[in-house]
Amino acid sequence: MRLASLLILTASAALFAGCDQSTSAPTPAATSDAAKSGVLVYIPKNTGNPYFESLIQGYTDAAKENGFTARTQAPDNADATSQLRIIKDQVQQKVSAIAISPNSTDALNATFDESTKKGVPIICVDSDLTGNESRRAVGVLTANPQMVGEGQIELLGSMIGYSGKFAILSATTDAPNQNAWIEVMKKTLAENPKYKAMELVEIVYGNDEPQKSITEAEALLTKYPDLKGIIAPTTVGIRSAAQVVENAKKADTIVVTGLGLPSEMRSFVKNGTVKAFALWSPYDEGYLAGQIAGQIARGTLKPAPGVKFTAGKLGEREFGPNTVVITGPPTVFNKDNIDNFKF
Amino acid sequence: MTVINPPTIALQGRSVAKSFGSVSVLHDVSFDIRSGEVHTLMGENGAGKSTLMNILAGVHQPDGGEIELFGQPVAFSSPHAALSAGIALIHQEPQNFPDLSIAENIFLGRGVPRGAIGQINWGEMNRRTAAVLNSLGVKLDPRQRMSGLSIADQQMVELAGALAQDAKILLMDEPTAALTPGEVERLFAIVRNLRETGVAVVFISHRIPEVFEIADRITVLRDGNCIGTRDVRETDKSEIVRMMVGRPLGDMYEKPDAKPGAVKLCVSRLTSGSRFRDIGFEVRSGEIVGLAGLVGAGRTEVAEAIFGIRKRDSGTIEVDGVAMPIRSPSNAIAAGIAYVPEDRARNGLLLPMSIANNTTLASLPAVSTFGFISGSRESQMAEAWRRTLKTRLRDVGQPVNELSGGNQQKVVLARWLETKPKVLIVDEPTRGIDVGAKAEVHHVLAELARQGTAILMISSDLPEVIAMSDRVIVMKEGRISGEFARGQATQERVMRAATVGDDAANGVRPDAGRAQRRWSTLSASREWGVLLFVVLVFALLTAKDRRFASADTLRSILTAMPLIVIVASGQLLAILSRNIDLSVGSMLGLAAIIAGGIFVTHPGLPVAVAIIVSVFVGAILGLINGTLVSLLRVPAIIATLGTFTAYRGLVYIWSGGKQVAKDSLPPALSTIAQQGPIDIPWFVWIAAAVAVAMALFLRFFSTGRYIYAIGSNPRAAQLRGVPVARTILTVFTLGGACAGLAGILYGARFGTINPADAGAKPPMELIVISAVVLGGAAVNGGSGSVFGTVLGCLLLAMVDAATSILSISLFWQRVFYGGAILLAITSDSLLRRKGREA
Amino acid sequence: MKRFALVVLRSPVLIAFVLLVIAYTVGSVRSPEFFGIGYVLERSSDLMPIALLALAMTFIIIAGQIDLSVGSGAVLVMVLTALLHHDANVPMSALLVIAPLIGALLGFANGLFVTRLRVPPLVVTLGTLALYRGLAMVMMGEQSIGKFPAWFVGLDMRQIFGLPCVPVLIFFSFALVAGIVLHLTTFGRRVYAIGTSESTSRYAGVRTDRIKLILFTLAGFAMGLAALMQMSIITTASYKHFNGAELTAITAVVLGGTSIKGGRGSILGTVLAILLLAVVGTVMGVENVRAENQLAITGTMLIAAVVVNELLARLSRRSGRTT
Repeated sequence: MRLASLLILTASAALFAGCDQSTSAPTPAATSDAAKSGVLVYIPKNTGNPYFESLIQGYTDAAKENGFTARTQAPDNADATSQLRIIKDQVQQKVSAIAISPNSTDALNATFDESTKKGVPIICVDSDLTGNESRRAVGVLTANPQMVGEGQIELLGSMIGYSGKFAILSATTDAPNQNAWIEVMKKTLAENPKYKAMELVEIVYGNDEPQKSITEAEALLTKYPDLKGIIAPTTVGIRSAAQVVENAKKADTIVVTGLGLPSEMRSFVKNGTVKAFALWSPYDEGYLAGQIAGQIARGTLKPAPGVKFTAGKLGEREFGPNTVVITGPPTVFNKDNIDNFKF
Repeated sequence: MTVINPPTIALQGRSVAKSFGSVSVLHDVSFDIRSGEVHTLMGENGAGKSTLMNILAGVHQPDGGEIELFGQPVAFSSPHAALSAGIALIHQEPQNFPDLSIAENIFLGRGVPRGAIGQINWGEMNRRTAAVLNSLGVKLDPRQRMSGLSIADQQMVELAGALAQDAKILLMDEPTAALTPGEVERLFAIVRNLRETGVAVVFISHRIPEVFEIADRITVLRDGNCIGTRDVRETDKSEIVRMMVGRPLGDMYEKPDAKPGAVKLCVSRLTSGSRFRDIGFEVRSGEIVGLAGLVGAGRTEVAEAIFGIRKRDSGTIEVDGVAMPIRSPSNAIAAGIAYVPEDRARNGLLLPMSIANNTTLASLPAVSTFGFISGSRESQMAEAWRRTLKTRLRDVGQPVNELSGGNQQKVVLARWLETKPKVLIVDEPTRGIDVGAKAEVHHVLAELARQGTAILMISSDLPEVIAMSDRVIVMKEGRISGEFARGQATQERVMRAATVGDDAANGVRPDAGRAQRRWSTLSASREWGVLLFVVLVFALLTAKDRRFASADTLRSILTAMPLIVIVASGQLLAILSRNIDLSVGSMLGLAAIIAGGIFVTHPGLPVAVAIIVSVFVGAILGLINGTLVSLLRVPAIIATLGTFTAYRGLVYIWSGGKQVAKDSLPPALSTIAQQGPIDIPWFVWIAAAVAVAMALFLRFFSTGRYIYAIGSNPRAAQLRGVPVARTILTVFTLGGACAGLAGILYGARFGTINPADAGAKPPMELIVISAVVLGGAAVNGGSGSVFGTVLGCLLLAMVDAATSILSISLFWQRVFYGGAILLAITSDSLLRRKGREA
Repeated sequence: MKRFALVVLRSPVLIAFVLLVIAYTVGSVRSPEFFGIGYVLERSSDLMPIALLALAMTFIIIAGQIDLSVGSGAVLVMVLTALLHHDANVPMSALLVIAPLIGALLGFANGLFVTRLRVPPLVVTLGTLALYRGLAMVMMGEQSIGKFPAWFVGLDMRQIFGLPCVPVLIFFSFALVAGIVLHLTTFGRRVYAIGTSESTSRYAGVRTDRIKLILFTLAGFAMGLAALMQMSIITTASYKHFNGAELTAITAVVLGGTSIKGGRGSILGTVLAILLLAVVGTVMGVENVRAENQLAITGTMLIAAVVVNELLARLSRRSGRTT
């Protein structure tokens, strides 16, 4: 047994060393297909997220327009470690650029640096490396928090006559995007006299879990019998709140709005449970990222604050501070337009 | 009781022989047993009585000879087959299902009375049980749980089980060993009744007086041979004792006389619960003290108490005159005591490990430097002992299980001699080893004594005891019943002290029954404890916040439960059968995504089809789990940990990472979770139906009862002929089907089936295991109920709603689940311990 | 040749080795990106924290126990360490010592439950699996804490001999120590003894409860080390790491030929299995195998490893009996 172990050890050492030598010599014949046609990779937060499906479509279309192949490689759960492995594997294949929706604002920094050093630019899509913007080339963001926060308050206000109690059903207590929006909402309520009759009674968190979100929404109805509205700036939250209000048959007294997916909200809008909700176009976001990735990879775009460029069918865009590009204001969906959106 | 016709020969054996490995246990045994007689088998321990009974009852198969039942040659392949032919064996230690009722212990696996649709007819079963118990004159409620019964009552139940099968021949292995005098009387009255009805009763007993009271004929076995059969009216006690012990001492190695030195081991007033009381003796340097007695007299227990394995209630142990606070074997070893246990395979050897490893186990520091074992010193040590003890082996690196019994015993001896003990206790040192090795072992013991070791030798081999001991102490029923100096100890005297004794009333009798009963009823009613807890929590929460008792909140709790209840019902089956299923969340997700996906490709499909598909997919996945566990013998934890991952992978592969959105699901599906009779959504009714169906299944179907039986006592289940593999397959398949049903209801409830969320956010397996364990199911299987599980789910849903109403961070949820599991197993464990100690 | 095949089949370690060779060869032939040792080492870095857990798991499984809480425990240590550094200003150098001690405490708690309450370790550690991660969530929330000193982070980027192999070297060092302890010391011998027959060990004076307690504590210690290494590699701490780490660790141990029933196994086997997982992971990664397929493959590998191991054990028992 001991002899066998020794043999194995020696052999493994020899094997690794041997392989290293034999393959370290450059083999021009064996260049990967990635290098030939040029591949633009997109790494979403995790697989199974419908939001990113639409985004991927836009990215793919833009990549094609720039003469690249698009590839998506999704981790199975939304943690940074899985993304880290994927970035390494893609860089190793010498792809032309990587667009990513990072699962952490700081955990991937070292890997991004390494990737940039090896000539693969990093474009952050949908969420940015807040505080670490220098680690990536470009940040493609949906809308700025100001737009989202104010938009949500106005949307609700317009439906409840700018007066009455309302609550917010968010994802988790520390989700950065959510918190930024909620901060703006609070500030808007406090500073804009238009909303002085609206009272934010509580912010609750459903952890983006379907059951917990439902329980939280139900508890809101119990706790505040005179509640006028719920803002749920998260897809699981808004569909759960809508479900609860529909079940409780209180659609005519409680207004549900927030950020949601048309494919999940269509029936609620059609039967009148929800009158209007918002979301920006993930397709446009992906398309914009694809345009930027393609142009950087071709060498036609050098991103810097103030630089203007043409983003295909989206027209002219400009890099803001921290080389951030904003996709555009959210679309408001209602009975009239919802059938135009499939995602 | 005049017999006019010549007696019917019920069972006859001719030249029955049996060996285990190289050891021949029965040589050439012929006997006949008549209907309507009480026939006693007698003989020393190891004479072959139990082996003979086991052969007659189909537990073992004979190597030679033939057995005829009412003139027909028979060969039983299992106890089940023997029982069907009318031969029932009642073990000394009852083999039963502690978590099941008396009636079930009588009928399960043996033709349970059934109703019109194959359901268990409890009324009929209890009636028939009551009738049988009545005919035995036993006053027991057929519905009572077995674990609450005294040993005597358990024996009665086994007896009743045999009679319910119309057994013509009853074999009883030492039925009186654990009974009080009153209970023995009751048993004998029953035996006499049975004799009147023509049943042949064969039993083993060591108590000569009671044998003469009850038996018609006595057959004596010795060393695997039949010495003779006597009619009680034509014999007397001394003849029987002579027949039992008449083994010549001639070929036995005899220890040379020695002058004992200082007292090495002094034991006084040693007492341990119901096993032995007030034991006191001493062993001197150079002396071998034989500890004789029957199996069950408490000899091994005394040795284990001295060695620190068994707790002692009182008494002191002195080595070299110094009291030793021995609480564990390592204390005992440090005090200079060594113990060669009776059950070599289980307690003496590390069977797959090498001879050298086995030799050095108790003295590793001696072959190591700074904790590093020196391979060469280890082999040298083993080698040295091989030479000293003349162990026959190929090389000391050989696995010890390749050696014969005698050589294995030498390895164990070597382990202990290496610790250079002052006191050596050997328990049945020559059991199951051949004659040559036996003499060598005796030689070694005598030589050790000559060198000054004090030896306590427990042995049931009377010639060995007589030949080897300087003094013989005899134990009977937990007390010392005689002591003989060398020369005064004869086989007759020792046997008499061990069997006859006139002070039976003073013996230690098992009296655990009552207190144990209390604890077991308590643990049986754990569901009510959970209910009380639920009510308490509800009251507390309502007191804290009145809104908690509002109709809205109750409705919210009610609609949060169905999915968990359905999946937990499946999990309950797994846990009841001593398994676990970690893959339920992934099965739910896969079933949901497949069934939901149908609507994407076939939008118009009826909802019923999706439900069927979902359940079917779940069942298939569960069947895969079941196959891994029951047929491929992969431990459930590993199998389902593997499928947990693999199934989740399949969820993504099947869906291509895309969710099935509310858009694609028909409104009719959502209706299930929204509307229903008396304004309670359909899916609540469905969950209730599943829970009720599961409860009925567990209660009224053999397979359901088998699940309890397997969890309660897997070995007994196997012996009874319970189809274990098939039952486990059913358990996992039903578990999968439940997860599948929950899958489509997930779609109904939440409208959107996301491959990453369904069943995983929050982790379903954690929730349902918490619910089942909180609901009072025993972690080790055998006990638990759907009612308790539903209460567990209710508790979880209530706490969940409470955190929302009271605005507590949802992260506490996970902490609560973990804490709940730990709390439940802690109370379960403490409850079990109380039950055992009482 | 047939004899050789028989020897290979009898020794699960050799199976892992043969699989490793096959995976490596296939990888080299199929993917030019699979550039030999350099990239495999770099890519393997982030498996190394789990590899440390697998080393401890090897001891635990050989002793016939199991610990499902290693991943959650590691995450709790990570969260506590980060909070101590961030909120209480405990210097990182001190935390290098404190973190493994915190882990040891968590493992010790597992051990206490197992030895005092006599509850199967499976259920105990399933409970602490939920509890530890829950506590980590409660303490940390959604935030992630970064900003560790420069000397602490980026372990996987440092190069020795021109190769980014620090985590792998650390793993090998611990594997060496673990191998020495398991295979050469009295402690290791007692671990095997307990896994082979707990009863015999007890009758031979082995303090079985104490050794089990030490083993669970050691597993906790490994959680601490894994947490530190993970933090250095990923430069940040949050409750989301080490998801399913227990599964990967158990897979590695079983794949390395250690019997899930205890008493048989080796550190070498676990090391080879970790390398195998690293190589297979790399091959799948550069071949752009989708994450979901990788998930299915890992789960199937675990089950297959157990089935094959048990079949082999049965086979060798059968042929052992006939000789």
